[in-house]
Amino acid sequence: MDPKKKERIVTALITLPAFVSIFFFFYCFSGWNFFISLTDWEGFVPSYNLVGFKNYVALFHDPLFWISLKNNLLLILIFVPGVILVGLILAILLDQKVRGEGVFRTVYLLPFALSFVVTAALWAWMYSPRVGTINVLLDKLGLGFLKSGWITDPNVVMYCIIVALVWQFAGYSGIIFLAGIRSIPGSHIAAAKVDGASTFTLYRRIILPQLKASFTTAFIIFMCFALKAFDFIWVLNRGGPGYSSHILGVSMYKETFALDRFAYGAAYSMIILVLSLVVVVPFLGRVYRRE
Amino acid sequence: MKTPKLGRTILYILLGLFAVLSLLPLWSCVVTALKTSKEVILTTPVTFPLHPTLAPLMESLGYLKRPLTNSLVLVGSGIMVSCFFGSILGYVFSKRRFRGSTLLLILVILCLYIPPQVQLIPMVQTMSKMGLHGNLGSLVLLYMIFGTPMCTFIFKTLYDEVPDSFINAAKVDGAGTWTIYRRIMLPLSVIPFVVAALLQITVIWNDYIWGLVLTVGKANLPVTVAMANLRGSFVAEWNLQMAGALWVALPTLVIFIFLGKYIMRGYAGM
Amino acid sequence: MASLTIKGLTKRYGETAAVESLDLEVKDKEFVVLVGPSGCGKTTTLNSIAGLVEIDEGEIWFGDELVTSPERGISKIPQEREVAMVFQDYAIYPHMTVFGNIAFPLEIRKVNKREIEARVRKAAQLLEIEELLSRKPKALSGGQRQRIALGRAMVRDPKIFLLDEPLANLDAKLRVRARVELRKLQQELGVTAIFVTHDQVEAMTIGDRIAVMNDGHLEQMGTPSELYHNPRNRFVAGFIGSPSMSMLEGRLEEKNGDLVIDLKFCVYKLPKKARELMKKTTLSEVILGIRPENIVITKESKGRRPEPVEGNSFEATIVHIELTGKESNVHLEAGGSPLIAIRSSTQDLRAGDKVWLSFDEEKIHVFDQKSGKALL
Repeated sequence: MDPKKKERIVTALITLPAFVSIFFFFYCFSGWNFFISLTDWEGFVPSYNLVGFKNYVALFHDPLFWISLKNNLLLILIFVPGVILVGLILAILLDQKVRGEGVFRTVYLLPFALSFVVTAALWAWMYSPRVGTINVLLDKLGLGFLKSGWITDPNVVMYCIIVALVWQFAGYSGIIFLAGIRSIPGSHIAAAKVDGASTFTLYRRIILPQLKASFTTAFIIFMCFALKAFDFIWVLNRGGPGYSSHILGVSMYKETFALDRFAYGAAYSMIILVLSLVVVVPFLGRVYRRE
Repeated sequence: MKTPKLGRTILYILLGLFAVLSLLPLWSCVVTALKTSKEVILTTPVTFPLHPTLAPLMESLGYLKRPLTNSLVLVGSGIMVSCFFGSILGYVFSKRRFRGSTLLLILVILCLYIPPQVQLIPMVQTMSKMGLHGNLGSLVLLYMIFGTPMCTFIFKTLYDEVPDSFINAAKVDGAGTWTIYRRIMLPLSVIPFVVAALLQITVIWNDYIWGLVLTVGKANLPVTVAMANLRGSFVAEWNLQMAGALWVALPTLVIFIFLGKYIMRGYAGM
Repeated sequence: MASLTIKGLTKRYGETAAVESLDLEVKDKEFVVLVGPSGCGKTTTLNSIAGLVEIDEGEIWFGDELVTSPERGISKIPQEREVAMVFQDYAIYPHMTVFGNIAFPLEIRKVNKREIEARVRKAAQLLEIEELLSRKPKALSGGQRQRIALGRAMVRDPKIFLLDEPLANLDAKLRVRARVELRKLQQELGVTAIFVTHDQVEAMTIGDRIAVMNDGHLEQMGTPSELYHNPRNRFVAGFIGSPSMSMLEGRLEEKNGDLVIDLKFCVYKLPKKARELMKKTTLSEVILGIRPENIVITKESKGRRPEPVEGNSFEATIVHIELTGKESNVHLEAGGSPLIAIRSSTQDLRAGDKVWLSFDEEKIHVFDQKSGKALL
């Protein structure tokens, strides 16, 4: 057999199982889910009667959908910039030739090691109004007036969640930016120093502009998380109190698995997917050009 | 000179502050897990107990024993296939490119950003049809496949660091695609395998949503789902909940503390 | 027969051609050097011969066998081409011992263990690396790795050796030694070798014939002597030879029955036989080229023109003198144009001095300014 052909067949054979399974479990499933969202499936028995975009129309009239979207927006507008900012600060601090840098780095990264269920348990304890860490400490420090119902208070609960999530991801954000800072050639930094740049100027004019790639990576990762989050909020308090901390991922789960409204839940999922693609697809163009 | 000294002091103060913030919830968790129920109410959540007790840890272990074993099984079996697939795909994308391989690479990487919500319903349906729904087998299959995109990315990034001349030299010497993989790339893959495995272990151990959706019955739960259930069943028993949380947190914390450099290698590249 | 013939080789990357219509012939057992500046296409050519890149047009023959022809859909994969290649970074696999590295090509071909042992040892002996065989490459020096790479190439008894700048990573003194040893090895083994380098000194000292490439084209191919004494164009003349040939721009004119070049600071009369060779040209913008060793420097004494100085001499100022050992490079400037000359003793010369220069008539080169082609 033509050896070149043989090589091609070998390549195809060894990659086929992986490609096929990925194609099925990600892309076929997405299409299948879209199809389900166009049906009227409710209840245990799958029903595949097509009803067009009825579910989507219902979604847009559903106040729960809008509450969820609003909460996702809070995540996008506060959590994403917040975690990027904290990460950047941590990275800059760690870049200062710190003694014991490795120890600090590990400590900052520990929250990221935790499962969301653990984080939820930890912060439920932190936020517990009567015996939880925060309120008890506030009392002890004489700052009792700052106490709050935290996650039991519908007006404050999303912000509590955002703080907890920033806590979880700050270290991860930090190492993304630290890797970006460290990838800048030492000669650039040395040249700037010789030219007389102060530390402040060095960061502002030389280092920050070269962190564009890190910013993009962090942005995409955290934006997508903000859209698909579920575990933490669900375990924390099931999206409560009431519906005040429902986000799209939570509402989707509830509609599908608690209320058995599968087609409706599928529509929720498609919205999440589309929003995620809007964030990711422009970035993929850059990966393509780089290769 | 005063200013640099002052600057360094502020630096360490800030670093220390962030360290305290990072560790505070964990510390509070640890001390609470070691307290009797009475002490929980009587003492501040950050003070070490006067009479530390292992009772909550032992009691929660009782509830979590089976789930812990389940999670171990999931981790062990899940990483094998995904690491292997990831290694092969990473090799092909890095060293054995062909027309359209960049597009395929993008499609694989895109999977990392596809939200699990769109896969929930189809996955449940598929597992039911395969008769796997409700038991661990469904999760094993899931982790094997779902881990592949991330492993592919890790392997490709690390394989890119192997000089192309290695591959060209092997070609001229007569080695075909599979031989090059087996005799050149694979032996050089120790680090990528460690990184990919550790990242996979973390992801699988920490997963919640898929365990929630695909397993039914106390005997089949992974430890995350079981621990979350503790929250529902023992609402006011904080020491028990914190103890349960510790059991779940321990393995990944140990990995991050002692093998942290590999973890960072994996995440920083993304 | 391990000869190599390339006809019309063209390889494009997008809009630009890395190699354009290259014709090259290498005889059996010949040591040919491909030399040229970065980006001239020499490595692309080498990779095409190995089959590591697909070409767009052309033919490559190994002896009577056609191994590459895109027009006829023939393109043998590198694995089947019976060539051996040494890369610039040597590509020594860190996870195998030295023995394992050298044995690798034989293992792939499923040669039996005893024969592998024998052939590897023989190659290691020849290269004087026998005592390294059981070691891992990690701690070995550049020179040792280079020999391991050669061992791996040799052990298959290939007919054609391809070498991609294999000496570039060695330090200067080692490089000179390695050149000599490489040449000896090639002659002992009786293989055809194609050697790529950007260093023209290396090319001149190591090759039977040299192919000078520039911008994807073959400028000239010939023996070192041919290239040095009869460069076909301005590029080859300027590229080969160190220090480089001095180039002076001027107009070719007829004056009183003689052919002269008006260099503005001097009107240079061309020798009689030049008339014959250049009579046919109608071009007028030319470049006069002269190699450093063919420039004679005479110090003027007391403002008079010293004797004996030929008619074709002119004044120049010394800009800088470089002592390079036995001789010195004298950098001069005349009428705004730079020149370099070589002289064995410069004790009487100093920067800033005004001197008289004359050229060895027999050794003048004239090039057309526009096309660069040699007219004389």
